[in-house]
Amino acid sequence: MKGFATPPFLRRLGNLGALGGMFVVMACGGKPAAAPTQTSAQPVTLKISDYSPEQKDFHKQVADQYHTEHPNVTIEWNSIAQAQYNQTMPLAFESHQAPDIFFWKSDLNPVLTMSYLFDQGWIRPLGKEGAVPPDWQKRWPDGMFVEGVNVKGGKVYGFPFTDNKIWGPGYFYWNKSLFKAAGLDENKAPSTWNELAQDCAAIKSKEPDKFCAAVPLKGTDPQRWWFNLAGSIMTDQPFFDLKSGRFDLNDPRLLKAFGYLQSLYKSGYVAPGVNDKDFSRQQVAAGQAAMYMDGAWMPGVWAQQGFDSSKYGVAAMPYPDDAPRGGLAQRYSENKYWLSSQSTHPQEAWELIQWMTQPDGFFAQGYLKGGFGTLAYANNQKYLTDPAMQQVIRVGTTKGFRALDPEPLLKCPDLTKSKALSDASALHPNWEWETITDAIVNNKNFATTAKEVADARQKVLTEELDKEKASGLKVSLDCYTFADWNYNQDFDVSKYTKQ
Amino acid sequence: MAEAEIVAAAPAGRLPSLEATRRTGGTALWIVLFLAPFIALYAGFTLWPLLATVAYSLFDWDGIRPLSHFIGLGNYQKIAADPVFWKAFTNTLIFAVLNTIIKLPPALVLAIVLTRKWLWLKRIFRTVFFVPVILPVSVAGLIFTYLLNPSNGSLNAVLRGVGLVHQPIDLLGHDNTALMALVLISVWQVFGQYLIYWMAALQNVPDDLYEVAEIDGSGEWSKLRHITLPMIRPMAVIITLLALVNALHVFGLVVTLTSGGPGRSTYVMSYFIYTEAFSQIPYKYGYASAAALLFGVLALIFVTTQGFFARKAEILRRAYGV
Repeated sequence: MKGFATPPFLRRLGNLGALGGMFVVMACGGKPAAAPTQTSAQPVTLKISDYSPEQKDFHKQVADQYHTEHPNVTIEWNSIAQAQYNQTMPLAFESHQAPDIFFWKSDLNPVLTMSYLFDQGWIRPLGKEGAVPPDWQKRWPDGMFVEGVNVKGGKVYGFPFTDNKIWGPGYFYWNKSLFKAAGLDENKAPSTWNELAQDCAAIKSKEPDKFCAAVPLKGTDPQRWWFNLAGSIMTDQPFFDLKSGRFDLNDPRLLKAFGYLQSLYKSGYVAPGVNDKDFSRQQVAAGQAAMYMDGAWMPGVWAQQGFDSSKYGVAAMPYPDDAPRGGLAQRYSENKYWLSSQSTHPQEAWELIQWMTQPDGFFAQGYLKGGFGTLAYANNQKYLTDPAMQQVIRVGTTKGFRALDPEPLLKCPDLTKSKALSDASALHPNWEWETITDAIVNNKNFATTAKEVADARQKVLTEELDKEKASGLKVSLDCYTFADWNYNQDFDVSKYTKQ
Repeated sequence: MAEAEIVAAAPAGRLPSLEATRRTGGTALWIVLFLAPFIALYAGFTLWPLLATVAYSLFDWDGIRPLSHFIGLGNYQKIAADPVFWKAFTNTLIFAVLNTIIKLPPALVLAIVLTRKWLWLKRIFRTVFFVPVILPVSVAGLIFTYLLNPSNGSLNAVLRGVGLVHQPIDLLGHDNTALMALVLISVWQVFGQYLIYWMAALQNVPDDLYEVAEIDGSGEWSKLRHITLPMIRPMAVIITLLALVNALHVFGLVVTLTSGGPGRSTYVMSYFIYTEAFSQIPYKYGYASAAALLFGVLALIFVTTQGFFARKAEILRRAYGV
């Protein structure tokens, strides 16, 4: 049935109380969006929302500084936990209480974030109707503003916030004191899977009360190790192979990565328990476990836990000894802050964005010094003074460490209208993580369940693509297939043949 | 007949019809007035969400876009063929039944002990048992996360210290123990609540029945079997079904302790609904609504059953003349 029209206020009410009253209730109402105003000296309050509560103090500093420089502008920066944020933002837009600037990144397909937000009607173009000053765009390396990703119809809607070279998984961390106690070189990380296992054997033998590896297995946290192992042998694209256009949990290379992880567990090298990432990180910081794999953000996390960077080392994740190396994925997916369509002060919000993105400005310096991440528009090396973060940058910028993945959207622009991949991925969203944890802790056959997961998702993808194709969209499995590309090589942009 | 005579002739405990009619007419307006807030809240926060859930379950809807893609019973068909739903459904039933069976009998025994006149420090005991009830579920989850952790948890430290185990045991990390561990933790948390329910039921038993039994020479066991248990039966039915229905809603402990794992061994209905609805965008409100509705039907069956058994128990109680 097409066009079932529910009165907006009923739908809003329904949103508040649906699913048996279980779900979060948020106050409705508020003023409808007024017509945008131009910059003036009138007092203006800009609301910003994101899910970086660990940056609250920094956000306050930013707000104070901006108010000092622009006395008529007050910033209200609201940072809450991600799960809560993802639920409240749709309701905020629905009830016309959306912030002026907001953070959004699609978990299913980050590259499609703009098209999703555009589809929702949540965003407006930056600058004057999407025309941004050329010198502003020059703050980023060439090729960062891409039609379909952060540009639509020539209008700029988004900008890369976090850099996509250094930021991401792929880093190996070790507790130096435990390496030393085990008679290992505290400054040398294992570079291969075998070396890692040998180091574990040494730690287990010399320090029987400690553990070699802290591997979080709760919920979606297996990803902390998994993306590193998968990227070392194939790709860390989340369970989808862009070479074959297939969901790949049962790919022999990933089965091998799993087998390796399971062997560490069976050998007693892994700290027992289905722990979450915070617990595992604390185990390493407290000297209970020696090794941990995760992303570039760990120095910032550990700094907050009082684990000084002199006490741990950072290196690239170890690679398999007897298999071709894979590659970590560099994606066009770091557009995170967006200008809200409901902003009543879009000009002031745009000015704030320009201020935030000054490469040597207050925001960039404070963000980098705080160790919150690496920025796409700033000199990270210059302001990230923490030695561990400096090492992260060295590793991240090593040639071949992360390779530019092909982007299906650039091959098939109609994919912005396609729901096939997101529908396939949304089929029991945490299925892969559940399967991995279950097989590890209960010593189950992984290959069978991995095939079941991959086949089920592939079936949905194929069926939905067929339906969309029949409805006139230029989409097919071929959009997701780049057979000539290698995981650890930058995809040649000239090879896109639009469909 | 004069009104005074009607009142005098009426059976004890019942108002005469004339008086009742007069009073009812006079207070009807007040009844409506006092009920209005409740009815408004009930309609807004129970009835309407329920109806909305029924409507949403018939759509392929992400909770944000217009409600336009009607799929009829499509969500229900998918759910019927979804092994994860059935896993969650089965786990929820197992959890609820085990939880009820484990928590109610000991709570009753303890309530009997705590209502003995000779017992000292009753209030302290009640408080001790009630403390876990007031702990937020998230705190309870954190406590047991650290207590049961096989790496450095206190339980394993004790077991290893006394030589009962050599390798750490991971109660929450294996699919054959995780659900049972959740059941026991849940029992620990709500035990005090059911203790209070039982105590309230026991205090409803008239003292004179015990006095008569004592005169007849009955012992404690005889009084328990022939007076206490039959007399609290109507309340017992309600307490049991309340316990079952409450246990069906388990959610917080699953989120904080296991996230439904390892694998899906502790998936329960509320967690399944939450995961489907909110774990990834686009949300699957339509699908989750259908699951929530089926879950609601299950709870409704329990509630309806409660009425049936409660009536039967009440008849039995009347047969005892109280």
